[in-house]
Amino acid sequence: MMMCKGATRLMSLRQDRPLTLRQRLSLRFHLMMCDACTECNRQFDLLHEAGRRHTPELQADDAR
Amino acid sequence: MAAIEKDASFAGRSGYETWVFGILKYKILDALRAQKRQGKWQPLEDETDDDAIDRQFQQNGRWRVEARPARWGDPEAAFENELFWRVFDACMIALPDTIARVFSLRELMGLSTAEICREIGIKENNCWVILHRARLRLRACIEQGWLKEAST
Ligand SMILES: [Zn+2]
Repeated sequence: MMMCKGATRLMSLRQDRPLTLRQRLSLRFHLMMCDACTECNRQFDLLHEAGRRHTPELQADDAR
Repeated sequence: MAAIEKDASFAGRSGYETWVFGILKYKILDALRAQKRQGKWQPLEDETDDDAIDRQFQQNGRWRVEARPARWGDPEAAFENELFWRVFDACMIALPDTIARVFSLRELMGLSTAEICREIGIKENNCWVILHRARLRLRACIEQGWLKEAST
């Protein structure tokens, strides 16, 4: 069974590339049972969006 | 990468933002170029352990009680809050250089991990490890500095 530390690895990875089906399912399963990781997942989403808005001039035009 | 050279476009920024940007630009690009030139880019000092992350998890892989992520609330409210950005910048600056650089290339500049690998010559796998560490460190730092500050 995947523990929180492993779940955060997948949460981070999904910000950078699509997860495999297997990874998506095991992450979803963990998040269903774990409030702390659900918050962490939201925080990683927020960090991603914050990075995008931080200094718009820095964003590579072709990156998104 | 060329866009970042146009320093003139940052002329309208406040002193504080210019200062932060200067530090980030130095941390991200100037140091990176210097290291590449000298051929001594060091991806990570130690692959296996990172105290700042071990401090957040127990041996069994669960969150430590004192490190459990709290609710940050509505992202839009955070983005409108000047304190959030100050804490964000302070936490970025507090990151170890390598981690700050890779995170900045990925999230501030929007490069893909494949592009980052090409740019700095590390394996993509290494990149994901570094980004995982960056996000865990940042979330802990921001939670400390922002929520705790805001609630006092
Ligand atoms: Zn968990």
